[in-house]
Amino acid sequence: MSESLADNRTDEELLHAHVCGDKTAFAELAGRHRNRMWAVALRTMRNPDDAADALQDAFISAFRRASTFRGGAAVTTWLHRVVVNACLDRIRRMKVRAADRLPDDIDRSSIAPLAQDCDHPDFAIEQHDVAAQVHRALSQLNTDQRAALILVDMQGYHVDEAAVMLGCAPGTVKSRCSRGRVKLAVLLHSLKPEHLISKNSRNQRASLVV
Amino acid sequence: MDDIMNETSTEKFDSAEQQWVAQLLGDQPDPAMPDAVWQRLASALSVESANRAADRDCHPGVVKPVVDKNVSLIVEQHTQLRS
Repeated sequence: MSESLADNRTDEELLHAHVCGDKTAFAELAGRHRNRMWAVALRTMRNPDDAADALQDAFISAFRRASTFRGGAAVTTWLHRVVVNACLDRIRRMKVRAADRLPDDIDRSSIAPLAQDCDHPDFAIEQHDVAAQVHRALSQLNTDQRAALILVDMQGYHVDEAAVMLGCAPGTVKSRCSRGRVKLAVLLHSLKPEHLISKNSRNQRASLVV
Repeated sequence: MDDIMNETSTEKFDSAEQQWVAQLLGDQPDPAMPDAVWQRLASALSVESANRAADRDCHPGVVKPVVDKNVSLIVEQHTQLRS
């Protein structure tokens, strides 16, 4: 099938074409969602090298298991699930502890937002700084809370969908998100708006154990 | 145990703070995949695709085509040694 037609196919059509032997369909699908999947992998794995490895594991797995996709959910949901599972599998294998520090040699360009649609350098730097702070704070959460927050708050999935992706109950996802946000509120205290800064939260900043 | 210990902290935070964090996370644009990562991934998918095509074309009794250049080199060296 020609490339011009491939661009117009839906995700489901591309996946079906891939299963039927189309040699370019899966690459088209991967390219279409690469930034979204990269964001999930990078935020879950915490550094670009591990994220790249996990993402390759995920896409190869999805390539081989495409015929198992039953169409009960969107292809992107299925891809997210494969990527998240590949990341969590790799983290388990690496025995990475939740409290590990962010590597010092992290490539900050890979954390930078996709679009810097502002002509003001100061604003762009500020946005980049906020992105780096958020990334650093996320990296300090445990893997379960981080994965839940990435899917629900950052990727916008409903709790029920995230629960399917993570293989746990919706209540567990809610709980992980809630506790993760509490920790992030402390870790990102410097970004907090004035009206949310209270004496109570100042006191908790020192006492909260991540 | 960890959950129980965190519960107390959770209760002290109001919903406005939770909403602020959720909003902050939601506002973060997706980082772009570096070209080098995409090139590596595309290359891996290309190899997978070639292998799959080879598998599909392979019939019983026919030797499966070798895609990996390193394997080809090893086979070639082995053949030279034997001859």
